[in-house]
Amino acid sequence: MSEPLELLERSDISLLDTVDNLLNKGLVLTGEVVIGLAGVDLIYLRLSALLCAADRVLPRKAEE
Amino acid sequence: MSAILYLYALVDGEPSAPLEEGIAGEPLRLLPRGGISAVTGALPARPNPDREILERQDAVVRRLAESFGAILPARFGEAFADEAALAGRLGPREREIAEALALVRGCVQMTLRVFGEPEPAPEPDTATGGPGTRHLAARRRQHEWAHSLPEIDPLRAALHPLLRAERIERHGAPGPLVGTAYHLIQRAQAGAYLEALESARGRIGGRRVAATGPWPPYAFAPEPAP
Repeated sequence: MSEPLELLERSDISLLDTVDNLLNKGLVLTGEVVIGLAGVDLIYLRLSALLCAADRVLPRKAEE
Repeated sequence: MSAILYLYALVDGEPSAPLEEGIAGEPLRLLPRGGISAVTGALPARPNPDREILERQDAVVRRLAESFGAILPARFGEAFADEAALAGRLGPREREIAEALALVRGCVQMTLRVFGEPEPAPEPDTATGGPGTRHLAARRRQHEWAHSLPEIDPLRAALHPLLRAERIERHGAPGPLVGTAYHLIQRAQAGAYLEALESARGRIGGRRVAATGPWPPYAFAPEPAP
């Protein structure tokens, strides 16, 4: 069996995507999940800042 | 004795592999309700979001995504007092969830980040109508702008034949990240997506894009009820 979920190299950007997926996307059935994770907005702001930083700092393969 | 029922994902059908364990090593259980099933684990308390636990949940969800034909991953921290509480939340949204499961069946998500100079926001139209009409029109334009990325339109045109669905979010804050396009594609087409992306990459001027994936279809799970 192939490993489609590993098709792309898992870089630091994809770690940040993991955070984006789990904290900012995904199914929400309860309002409590948003309220319960009071730090999420802060984490997401940091994520945005990190994504920007990652773009400047990480050498990207896609420069060709 | 467990205090909460932790939700990992909603799925339909039967898994093609054993469910195995959740983020705390707890056995995963499938709770069917109508045509939808919830993948849950019993935890002593709602987990705190640190890097390790997020990576563990990501691993659990990706494993589940390979095992079910259709999956809607839950946001981190979705927990319920018991099965009745979960059923109470699911009940009113069953149709919406079934539709979302049908949309994502056999699909994965690609995440496309766009970096560079943003286009300026469109000028407001010369307004007609009263103040209320103008206000509503302005609100609508703002909403449309927040969910558009004209910066990569030529790229999106090249990817379009591969897309089952698309969700766009402009970043809005200062910095090189202009926005993100979440693309839902057939699982088998991830390679074709990346090839199309590579061949069209030059069409967006000085801006850069970074694609990651395939991911489980997080961005295509229903939002909180309005």
